[in-house]
Amino acid sequence: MKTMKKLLFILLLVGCKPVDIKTAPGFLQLKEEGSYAYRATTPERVVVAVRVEDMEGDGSDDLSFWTRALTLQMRDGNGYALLETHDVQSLDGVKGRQLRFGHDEDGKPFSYWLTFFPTGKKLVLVEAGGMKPQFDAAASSVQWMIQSVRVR
Amino acid sequence: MRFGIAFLGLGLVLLVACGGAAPESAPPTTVTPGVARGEAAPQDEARFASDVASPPPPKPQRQIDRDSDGTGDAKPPADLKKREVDKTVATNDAAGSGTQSTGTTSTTNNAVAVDSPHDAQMLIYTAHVTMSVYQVSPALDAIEGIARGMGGYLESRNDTQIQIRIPRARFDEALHKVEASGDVIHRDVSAQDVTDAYFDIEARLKNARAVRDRMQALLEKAAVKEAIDIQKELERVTGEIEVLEGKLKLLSNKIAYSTIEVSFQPRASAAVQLMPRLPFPWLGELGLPKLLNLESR
Repeated sequence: MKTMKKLLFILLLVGCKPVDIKTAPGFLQLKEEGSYAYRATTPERVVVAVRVEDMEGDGSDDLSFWTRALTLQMRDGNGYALLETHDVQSLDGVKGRQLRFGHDEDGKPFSYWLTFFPTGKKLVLVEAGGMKPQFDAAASSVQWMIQSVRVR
Repeated sequence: MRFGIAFLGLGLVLLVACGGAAPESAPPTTVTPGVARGEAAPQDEARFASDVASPPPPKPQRQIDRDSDGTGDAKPPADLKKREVDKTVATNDAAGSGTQSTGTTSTTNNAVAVDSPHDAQMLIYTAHVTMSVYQVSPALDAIEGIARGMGGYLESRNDTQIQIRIPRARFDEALHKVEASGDVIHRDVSAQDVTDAYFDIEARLKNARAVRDRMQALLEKAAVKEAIDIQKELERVTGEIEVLEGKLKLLSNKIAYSTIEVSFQPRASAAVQLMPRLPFPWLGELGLPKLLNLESR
């Protein structure tokens, strides 16, 4: 009976968790209380974070819409340079897109990847960023973490 | 013998007739507003065509030099060179056919009319390019290199902005190269037609020069009292010529060298605010500052 209760509690926890992501070696998961559902960092401050935004209505799973909206926000609004765009897929099969930006902060180049998965009910955004040299060094770990995301 | 004398007499009559025509068509001795355009002598036109064909570098001309040609280091654009040739040819034709009285302006206009409509216009091309803020310093160096490599020059540069001048004929090519050096957020290209302004200044300058020449001629013959008055008027006209020459050189330079201004920054907040805003406040939180701020959540 006790085992069953524990199992139910674990299932409940997993069910409440809006998104699942694995933390790569070299990253430390931070306890989050703000707008991030998940955030982890390396000692060199390469950070990976997940946001989950509730969405309702027709078209909320439109990949093109969110691609355009996020590109406008980052390029026109924030002045980020769009360097690459990749189609991606979450571990549980939801199609998404990855926008790779570059941006100077205090005259130094930074990398910023914005990956998003619109499920129709929610929009999962995975942000990853850091100073370009450090980010380049950790890029494979960042990519691994993004590929480990389950959004359902 | 009789034929020889008659021929010589005819030649003398023709010579006097040609020599006497000049004072009749000479401009008035004072500069007045609304002086008719295009009354300058053909040689003035030819000389001035040379001035136009050699747009000056951005430095003031302190001394009037009527016969100075190509005072600038800058190279003229191809179409202005063509105009120079057209004007010279047209002037020579007019002189040769003895139709000076029809006015150099009309002859010049005919020459211009031969050009395509695009070439006949004096256009100042300006491009404003807004680029994303990424690896700005290398991009600024690259853009400066584009300017120098294409016969242009750097006009101004700071940490986030650069302004270069490119020979007009290579404007499009330069713009493509500049745009390839980064992620272009916004681009604004304009062409300002200054044909009227250009020819207006040109005509006023011709008249002022003609007036100055007449005054200098009068000054040599004038009595002392008259000479003082003429000298004062001469100084005024000379000053006016300097101003007009400055304006014309500035305009010629703007025509000959197109301007490309590149800003590395987000679009102006006013422009961004004009865009329809989506009802998702979290969009404004995306980006590096919040992501990398690990101290406060």
